[in-house]
Amino acid sequence: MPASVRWPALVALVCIAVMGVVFVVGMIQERRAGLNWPEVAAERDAALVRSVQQIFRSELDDLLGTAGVVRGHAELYSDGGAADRASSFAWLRNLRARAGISVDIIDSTGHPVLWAGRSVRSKYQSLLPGGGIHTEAFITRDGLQTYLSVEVRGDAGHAVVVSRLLESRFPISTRFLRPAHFPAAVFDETGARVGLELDSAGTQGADLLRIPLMSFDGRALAYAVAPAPQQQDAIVGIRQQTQDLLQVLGGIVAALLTWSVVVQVSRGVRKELRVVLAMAGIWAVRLLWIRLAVPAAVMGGALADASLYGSSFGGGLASTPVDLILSGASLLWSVLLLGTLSMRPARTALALVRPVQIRRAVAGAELLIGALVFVLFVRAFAAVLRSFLFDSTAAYQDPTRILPDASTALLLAAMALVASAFYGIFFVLVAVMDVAAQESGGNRASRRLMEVGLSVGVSLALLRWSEETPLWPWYMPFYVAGIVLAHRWWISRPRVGTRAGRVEGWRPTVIWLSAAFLVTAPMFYARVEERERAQVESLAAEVLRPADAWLSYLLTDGIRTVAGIVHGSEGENPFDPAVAPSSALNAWARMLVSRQGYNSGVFLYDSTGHEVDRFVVGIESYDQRAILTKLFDYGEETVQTIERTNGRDVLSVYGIWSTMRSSDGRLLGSVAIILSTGTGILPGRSASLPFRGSGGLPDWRDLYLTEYRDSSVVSTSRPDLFTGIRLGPNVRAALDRQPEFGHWFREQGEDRPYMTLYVRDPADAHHVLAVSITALDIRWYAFTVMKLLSVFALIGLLIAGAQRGWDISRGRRITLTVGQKLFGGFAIIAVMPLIVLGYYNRAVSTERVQDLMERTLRRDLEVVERRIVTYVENEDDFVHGVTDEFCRAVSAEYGTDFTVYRGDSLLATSRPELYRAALFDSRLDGTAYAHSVLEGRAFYMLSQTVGNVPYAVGFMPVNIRGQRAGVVSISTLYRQSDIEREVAERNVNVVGVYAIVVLLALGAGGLLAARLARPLQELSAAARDVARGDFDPQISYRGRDELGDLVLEFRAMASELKRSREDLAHAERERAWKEMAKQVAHEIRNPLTPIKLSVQHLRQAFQDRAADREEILQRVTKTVLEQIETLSRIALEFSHFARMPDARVERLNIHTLLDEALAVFSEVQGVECRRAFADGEIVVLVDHDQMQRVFVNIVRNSIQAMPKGGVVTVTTAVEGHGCRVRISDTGPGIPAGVRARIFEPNFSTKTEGMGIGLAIARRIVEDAGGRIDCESEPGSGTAFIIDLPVAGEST
Amino acid sequence: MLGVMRRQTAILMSALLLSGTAASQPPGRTGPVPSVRAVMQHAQPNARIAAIRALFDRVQRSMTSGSVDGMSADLAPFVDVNIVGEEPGRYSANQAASILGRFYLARKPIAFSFTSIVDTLSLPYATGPISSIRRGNRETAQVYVSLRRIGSRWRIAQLNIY
Repeated sequence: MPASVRWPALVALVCIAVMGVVFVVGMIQERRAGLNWPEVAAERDAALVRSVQQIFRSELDDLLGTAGVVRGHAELYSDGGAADRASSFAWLRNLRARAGISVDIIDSTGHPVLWAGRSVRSKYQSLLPGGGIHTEAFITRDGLQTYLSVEVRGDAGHAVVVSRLLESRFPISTRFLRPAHFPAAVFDETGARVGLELDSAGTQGADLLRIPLMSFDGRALAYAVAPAPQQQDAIVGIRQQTQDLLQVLGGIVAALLTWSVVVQVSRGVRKELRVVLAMAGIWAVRLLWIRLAVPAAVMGGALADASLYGSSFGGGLASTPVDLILSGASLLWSVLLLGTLSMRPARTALALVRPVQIRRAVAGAELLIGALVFVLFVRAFAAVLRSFLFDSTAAYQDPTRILPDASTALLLAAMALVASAFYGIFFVLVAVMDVAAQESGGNRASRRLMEVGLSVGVSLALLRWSEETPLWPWYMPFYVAGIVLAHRWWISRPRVGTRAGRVEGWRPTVIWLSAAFLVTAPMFYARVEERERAQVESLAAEVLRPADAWLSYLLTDGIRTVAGIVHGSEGENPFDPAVAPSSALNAWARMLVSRQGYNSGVFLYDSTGHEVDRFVVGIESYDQRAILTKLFDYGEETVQTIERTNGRDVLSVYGIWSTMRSSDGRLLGSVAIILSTGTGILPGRSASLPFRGSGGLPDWRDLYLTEYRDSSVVSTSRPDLFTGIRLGPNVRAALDRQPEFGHWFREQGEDRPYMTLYVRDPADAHHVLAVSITALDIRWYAFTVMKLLSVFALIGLLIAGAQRGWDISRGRRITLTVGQKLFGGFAIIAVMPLIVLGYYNRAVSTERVQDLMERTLRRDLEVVERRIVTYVENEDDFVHGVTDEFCRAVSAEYGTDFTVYRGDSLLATSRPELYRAALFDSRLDGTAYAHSVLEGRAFYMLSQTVGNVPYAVGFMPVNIRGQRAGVVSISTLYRQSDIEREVAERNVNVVGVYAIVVLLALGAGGLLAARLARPLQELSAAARDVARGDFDPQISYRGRDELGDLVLEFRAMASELKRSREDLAHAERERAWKEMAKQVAHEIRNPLTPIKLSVQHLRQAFQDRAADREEILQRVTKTVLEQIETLSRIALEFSHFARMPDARVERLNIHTLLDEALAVFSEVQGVECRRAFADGEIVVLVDHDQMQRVFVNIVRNSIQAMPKGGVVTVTTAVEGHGCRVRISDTGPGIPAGVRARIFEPNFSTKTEGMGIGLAIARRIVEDAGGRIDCESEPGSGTAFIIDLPVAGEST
Repeated sequence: MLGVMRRQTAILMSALLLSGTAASQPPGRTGPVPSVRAVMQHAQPNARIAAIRALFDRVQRSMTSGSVDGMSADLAPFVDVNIVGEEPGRYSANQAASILGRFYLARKPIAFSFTSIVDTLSLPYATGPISSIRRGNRETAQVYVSLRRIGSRWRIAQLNIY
């Protein structure tokens, strides 16, 4: 079983075993809880107590550690000037911001001298005399919140108190109050929700568990109260936990086993069946995971956040972002598997249909069916893209960011996956249609294109008829088909490959992603515009709707809450002036409105109608008066509303009032409850409660409201409209024709185009509401296209990077071509300024808006400060005259709420209820104290967060007769929306255009890289040709630059090389012929001399009539014939060297050749021939006679070198793709100087022979594609090594 | 002959194509804006109440069983959702169903019923407590569901669990 099957199966078995254990443990736990609940309950209680106490202890230790850090910062305790103290305050503020705590440094009298964060106590215990470190923990309840503090006293004369929010007494929305860490930590660890009680005589009950929270000294500081677990609940919880674990493990097992089974079964089956099995396995696992809610059930964060993206389509295919990604990956994988199948069988099957007319008819039907399926898939893709936008809250189009944020990038990546998968489907379908068009007679590309287009058009028409509101523009199927056909016909043609080692695999991926992007972008845009319109329509309906049922419900619930307080077991009377200062706050804190986070207020009146107490957060005084006035004009317990247009929004305030009576019917008082849809806790520019969901337009999107009555403008926030302008006739006609619908119109304003929705109020035919948004032009679309493209490009880079990493891990050496390096350099240089620009754009906008806020705050502070200074005469006046009532009056006068501090403490404010409720700290911020009070800076600004709303707060000293009497502060909503709007505008204007420049630069870079790379590639190929001996390089580059010079020089070099080689060859030939001639002359002279001498001797003998002239004749004849024979042999050898006969190459076993060569010398005495051949045959492609000649020559030389006998050893071996023959002897060896020349023609150390035998041998071996070499050392014998290619490897 | 047939086919196909494109909506017109003040007087009051009650029954059954399927078809195209532990906002029907599904994933409902149904207003609503088990601990929350008339049907326009 291969490893790819074995290991997953093993892991699956382990998981099954774990599942079994989990199941058994779960059953045991459940049974135990059922049968032995008291013991189980006691264990659970003990575990909960341990966990809660440990968490509390860790809170204490954390605070203690922070106190240690502060104590170690010695500079804090130096008695420096104002500047030193300011830097100390700043250091503490930074520490506080990082750690989320409050810090007080108190002196020996118990007063804070340095602080950061909100005050927990205004005065602490005086420091005890004496030395040593003393640590103490305590709990303080301040308004709605409870704080845990750790105080560390040392011998430095100061103590450090570090505090953290422990609990909020009521579950008030985090818009108003920061969440406390301790209850959340307990819930995360134990699942229990705990409350806090400060004394031991708190809530008692059998169903409650009271856990003491211990201090360092073992003293109980407070008690955490948790509901005691119930038996049935615990059993259900055990079952739930077991089920969750089993689901997750089951999902893992299913995936692993499916993988193993599919891989194992697929071995040895046809490719088509393998693909089907693989796809079945993928989708079986996917559907099972959906059923088991894996992995969404165990994941957190953006991946499992259904409010980021969620669709119930397909039973959960995309219920969360992680499900969407998994489904998209499964779809893409399936498409890639399908893509491995060939179209050839289909084409072959079609070609077999006879006669031709029927084949064409079948092809035509296939064409139409394919087109119908294709158009259906285009529709499906449009629906998927629509889901990406409408079922998501991701800010795809957010122009405030150049790159999308993580959650948006996640969804865009999922979109890229799905788009790639759908593109694959389009590719396959269009390929089918193309084949069918070809078979139906459309041989030329244009004819096939026409037939494909017509069939798509027919299918499109059929589908459009059946749909009331089509999902996509009519041209989309043609556009998609066009891209696919271009991909098939032009882009996918194979290109000439480059050298091995260069990565070619990324190119198809890039083309695929690019095509998927081109298909996605237009449809994506159409949906973006559609979503925007839907958001505006929803907003219009919101504006026109009556008192919302939910808000009315909240108000009536508030009345019920107050009734519950009055008639509750504690019998509180909130209308009693004695308890008044906090009764409105307490009532508000218990109401649903506070939990839901609405700006709201509670007003309590006694039985005579006098206001006893009020608590209001986030509603301006003007609106409070207006709604209260309206309320009391109507009967009790009826919801009333007022509306006010505020720039881009309509602010609605709802209210209700009711009387409260005792159980005996006595009138106790009245209560009025109001709430608004504004967001600011502090007054400022209110805005409608922004919906994070898909119904909300982002802040940077300019929105304008205009109201028409009797076709004339009565109110507008659009800058180019004013009261009295008449409604356009085309708008009136459209509204008259279809009054129940909204109508969109594109309008050209004075400075910009608008898209305006006109809606007639269903309850009032004379009232028309117009909602206008700025029409987006090409810059915005270009910017968003760039963002979409950046995600696709990032995915492509990740795939390329992963591929390279894979190659490197497998030891492949990866090189980049010059073109790739050039293009990469261009890309980096082009993109980097974009990123820098985006960063500085935000920084510049933030600075600008902060400047603007600073100017606004400074102006408002100056006005208030002057008013105060005008009102008071001296410092005493300031202390006693500046009261809450005074502040309210001034606030109403100038429309600005403010707060006045004396020293570091609150003196008076126009919003006392907020400070009484401890929503705001009554102590002046530390750094503000340092700069405004100690240093006396004319103006100081900082940012603060109340709840989760950021504010900019300005501070200005109040100088009375030259003395700093106090500090006045004003808050304003941090104008983040202004920053976003400015960043958006600048990003689109600058960055959008720059992005086009970047694309042009990248395109130019790519072209330049290609232009540079091509001539270099040609030069490289030409160099190879020159090395092979082709001195006429084909280089097409004709440029007149450095490259052109290089090409010219290369050509010149090749030409020079060619001439030199010819000269050399000529000189070689001449030298060779001279040598040959010299050798011939020398060789011929040798036999001629004895011939001459013999003939002379014979002539003399006959002239002298010698008696032995017959004998002399015989001797001379013999000598002459011998020399003639020698001359013949010389001529034959020269002939062989000069003209080698044509080789007759055949497949021969080298061992046979060697045996035959050795057989020639089998009779030689004194020489032993040994064989050490490799196993089996070694087949080579050689000429039999020539190769035998080579072996004979070498063996003869070896024998001749051993006149007294020796051993000749012949070995063969296979090395790589060749064979090696080694013929060695035990002769005297060859000196190095001689060895270097033994293969030269006419070189010989022997007295006989021409010395061309080894030259011939080398020529024969080299012609056979091999090489011959000689190894020898004097005294060690000689070895000749012949390497020949084995048959089959050489061509 | 073949050429003539092809030309006629091309003309026919083009006509079909053009008529298909002509069926698309004219520019500037959109679907019906949710008209919340339009009380449907066409239906009889008893039928109206019956339809509202039936919808609330479906919601009750669906929430008791901890499933979204029984009520997902009754969600309005855009729903205001405010569920404890989830991000409040206005979501599409699909997304609202997914969010509610996530709520059920973490909790097993054990009891739910509407204790108050107000069907006389133009925006009927119902409230009731829901008990569920989460990590072995019982939790109780209040459910608020309000309806809006969209077209000829009542749909769930707001769903709060707090």
